[in-house]
Amino acid sequence: MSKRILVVSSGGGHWAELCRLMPALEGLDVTFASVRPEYAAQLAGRPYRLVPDFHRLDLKAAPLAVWTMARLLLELRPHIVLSTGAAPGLLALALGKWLLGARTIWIDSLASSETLSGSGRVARFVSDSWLTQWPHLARPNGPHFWGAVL
Amino acid sequence: MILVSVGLLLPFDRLIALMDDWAAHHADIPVMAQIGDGRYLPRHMQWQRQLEGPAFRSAVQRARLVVAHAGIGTIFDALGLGKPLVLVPRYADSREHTTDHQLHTAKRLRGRPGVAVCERGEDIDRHIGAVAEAASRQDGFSPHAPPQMLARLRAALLA
Repeated sequence: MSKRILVVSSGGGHWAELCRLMPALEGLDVTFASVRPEYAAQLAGRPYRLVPDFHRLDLKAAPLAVWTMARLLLELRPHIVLSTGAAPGLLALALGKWLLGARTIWIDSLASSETLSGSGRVARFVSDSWLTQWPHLARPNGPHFWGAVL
Repeated sequence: MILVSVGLLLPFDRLIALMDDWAAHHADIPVMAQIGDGRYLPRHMQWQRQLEGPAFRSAVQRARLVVAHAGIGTIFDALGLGKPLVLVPRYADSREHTTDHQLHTAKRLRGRPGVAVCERGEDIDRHIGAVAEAASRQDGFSPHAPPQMLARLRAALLA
């Protein structure tokens, strides 16, 4: 049986990076979650869930985001949680690991080319695969480099 | 038409003012600006606050050249449609973003055919001229990540 996968990203560039990974997700049991309703139209009918956006400078929606994400995870019970950032993705990885023991994959943004992103640094503690898209940022103990979306 | 874009998330008045001034000196060239929540209202270019997803890509398609903040989504859309691109990165010390990551991204893309980077204080007209003239075709820019990365990720998802 195919593993259930939850893929989470915030809006703008993070979603654009995720879209470039679509061929790797083809034919798999994937639910997508992001922060803008119009993204559903880009998925050709694959399951899409809206989650609240928040970031470190604007934490107003964070409590609602925690609640929504926890409910989503308990409903879908994914075996794997994958994210291209940022804060909502980090939350999904953390809750996925703590609540369900899910396997977690963090792909830090292409935009973070000098240092890992803020979420990316924290993601170390909740990721089984902790990835950067820049080879010069990779280290033997992570983050690791599997390639870049560009 | 030249398309100017600040992206979805944060205003970027420096870019809009810069391009409004440029448009004032190039009245023969139509300029359309997406200004977000900016306070500076253009006087010499057409503008709208938001332009999202398919509407944004259709505007890129119609544009001869794109001048934009160095956001990843905007960069993919312009490169994907083969448009010359002048990137104007946001600086953290001017509170244009939380970090200097746009400057870092822009510097790493500088030198790709049809991509110019206008750092703070530089002459935007020179960069616009340079990319407009450069062989700017980006034919073959794939909408997907390279096959090796896709294969590695897929293997991890199937493991």
